[in-house]
Amino acid sequence: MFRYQVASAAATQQVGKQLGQMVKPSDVILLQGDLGAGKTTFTKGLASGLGIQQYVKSPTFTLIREYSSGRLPLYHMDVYRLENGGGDELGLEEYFGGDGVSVVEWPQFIQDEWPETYLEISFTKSTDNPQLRELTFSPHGKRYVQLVTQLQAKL
Amino acid sequence: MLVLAIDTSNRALTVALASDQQLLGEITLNIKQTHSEGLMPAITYLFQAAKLKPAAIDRVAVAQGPGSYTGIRIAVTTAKTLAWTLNKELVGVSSLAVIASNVLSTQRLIVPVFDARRQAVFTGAYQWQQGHLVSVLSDRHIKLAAWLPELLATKQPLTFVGQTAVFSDTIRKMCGKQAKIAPEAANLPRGQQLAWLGQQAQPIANVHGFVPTYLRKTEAEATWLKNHPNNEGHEPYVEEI
Amino acid sequence: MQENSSQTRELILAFESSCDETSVAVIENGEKILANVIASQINSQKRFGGVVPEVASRHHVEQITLCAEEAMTQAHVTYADLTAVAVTYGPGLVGALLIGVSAAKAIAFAHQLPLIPVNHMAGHVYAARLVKPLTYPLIALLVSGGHTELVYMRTAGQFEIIGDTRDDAAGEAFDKVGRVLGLAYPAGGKIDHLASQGQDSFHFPRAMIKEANYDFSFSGLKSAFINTVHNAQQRGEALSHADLAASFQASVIDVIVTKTLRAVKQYGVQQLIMAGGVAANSGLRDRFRQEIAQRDLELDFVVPPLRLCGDNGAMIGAAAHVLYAQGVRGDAHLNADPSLSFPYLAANTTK
Repeated sequence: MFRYQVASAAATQQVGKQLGQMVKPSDVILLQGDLGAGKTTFTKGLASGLGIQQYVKSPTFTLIREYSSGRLPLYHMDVYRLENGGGDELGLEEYFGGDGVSVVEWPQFIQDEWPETYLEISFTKSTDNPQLRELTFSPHGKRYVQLVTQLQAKL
Repeated sequence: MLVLAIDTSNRALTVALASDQQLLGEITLNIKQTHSEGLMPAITYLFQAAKLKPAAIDRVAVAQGPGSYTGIRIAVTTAKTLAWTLNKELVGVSSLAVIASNVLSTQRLIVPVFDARRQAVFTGAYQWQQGHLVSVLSDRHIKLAAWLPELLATKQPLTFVGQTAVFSDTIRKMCGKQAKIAPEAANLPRGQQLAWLGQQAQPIANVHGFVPTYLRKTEAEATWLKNHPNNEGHEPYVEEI
Repeated sequence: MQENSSQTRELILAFESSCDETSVAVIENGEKILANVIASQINSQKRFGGVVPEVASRHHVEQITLCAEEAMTQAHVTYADLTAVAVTYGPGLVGALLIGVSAAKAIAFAHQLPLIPVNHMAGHVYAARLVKPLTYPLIALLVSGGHTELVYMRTAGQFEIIGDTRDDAAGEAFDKVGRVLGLAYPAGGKIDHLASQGQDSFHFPRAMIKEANYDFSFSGLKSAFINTVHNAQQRGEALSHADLAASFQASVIDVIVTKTLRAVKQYGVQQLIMAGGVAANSGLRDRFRQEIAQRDLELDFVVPPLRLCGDNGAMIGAAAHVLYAQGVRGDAHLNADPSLSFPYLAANTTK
């Protein structure tokens, strides 16, 4: 586990960008945190790290948005709307095992679908400073321990 | 009777045109593709090759599930729309029966299986009786570990067919000599078999009401109904506005 | 056979199933609705606080041929009368789109009719054509649960995005904020109603309102709203929901109206179309009308009636009429494209 504090949206984005330069095909990154905690901001950074030029828009409505203009495809998923279930029918395993990087917001709603190994990042807002966030990186599996070590060295 | 048969329940796609007992043509693809892209071109080619107009058919037979939800919806939507728009008969056949019918000339219990993930299967048990394929144990969604004891309790010799590869070790271990696993060639659905099964079945009375056999409620609906057993005035679910 | 009517009138049978409405329409010459049957799943989907894709797909299969039959009956047409079959192939929920696509392809094949694939967003724009003729160039503001786009049209059938949301769609912000206020899905109408009873007292930020582009951002507004509510909760203070709704809506409307009218001026268009689910918002409609009147703009502001603002087959048929004339055809391979988008106007692609 590795904790990192950021003081602005730009800093959150910068961490995402670093990670985006390191990810490999089939990597799965689960983003935990409340509404407005910085998950999508982080994903924007990750997309730019992959070299994706388009806007990374909220995928809440269609649940999955695919971006193919970068170094690797990015599968950006937001299953916020599936609080009461429905995630088992989205075919997520095909994305997780696919050629791209999967980033999942609100992964707690599809817990049954989680792959065996993944990187979980939790975003916690500070109670006194609304700009301050703590990012907690919890790697599950060797690949992700290595990824977090690599990221830590860059930050 | 000219029958168009359609099955896109799993990875394979198979379509056939058959006139009574005679197969005019069959296309079976077992490649990774979206059925939406593959199905209508295959149907179009069959009719072109047979020099037939779509309206020449008497009946559409469709494998209506269980299987991949998206797959069975594409087949069922295509089949019911064709039957409705051409004013032809429609029959639905179990996707499991289509696979079971590949195992011929046997008195054994035929057990088709589709992988439903997390150690569960879509399955059932079939048997040939007087030349007809009969459903002996109804189609269901069940954990393999719960299904095998039920099959063993029938004391009948078993032949497993379909997506058996991932389960073969478990099947051999739990069933021993009572079970055989059908050869690889029997594992693909064949439009010809579906057309044949479809000729024997009764046509659907209400084409509009025809839907896939999912065998499972959606996760969201199951959760909701558990918490709201009376449905709290949400019906009808769909209304014309 | 069809010597009489079909020679003089073009009839398109149009399918729409991109989200939670199954709809089939028959459109004459791209402008007249002969039938527009819409089966809404809202009663089912509101159980889940939003559209669950698998549930939506299942309902579409139940409804699709029923809607088609009713549309053909209401329009008093036969297959021999039809010119073409049109269908939405994106953007939307992939499983839902596939039902319309499968049905439309089956009908096109069965009756050997041309197939016209239609971008759902083009449909929203052309809903306006069912109200009155369009005068190009024009700008269309498309605001819904999944989109907030400003689209520039030089001429018929040509769509270029000049402004887009960089994060949440406007309708999505309404739903998320509604959730914080404890309002049931869909929250848009309820917030609109609450807002009419409150004051803009919280002065939420107007994101990107002054920036020299036509993009939008509603994520910061959403965060500001949530922070305000949560901080008040922590202090044990009760805030007026009407004022919260009014403040939220004022911010959304300010930004949308300001940037849209700026685009109208810069591009020198004389017609502005507003469509999509959020176009139903009365505050947004009224504000546009007020501003246009106050500024004495010579601008024809077209908002289709509510029934044509939501998802429907008629708008797909209206768009298909234009595409058909331009020779756009789909074939048996047509697939759903859930991420389908208009191209961005070249000048706007760099950020």
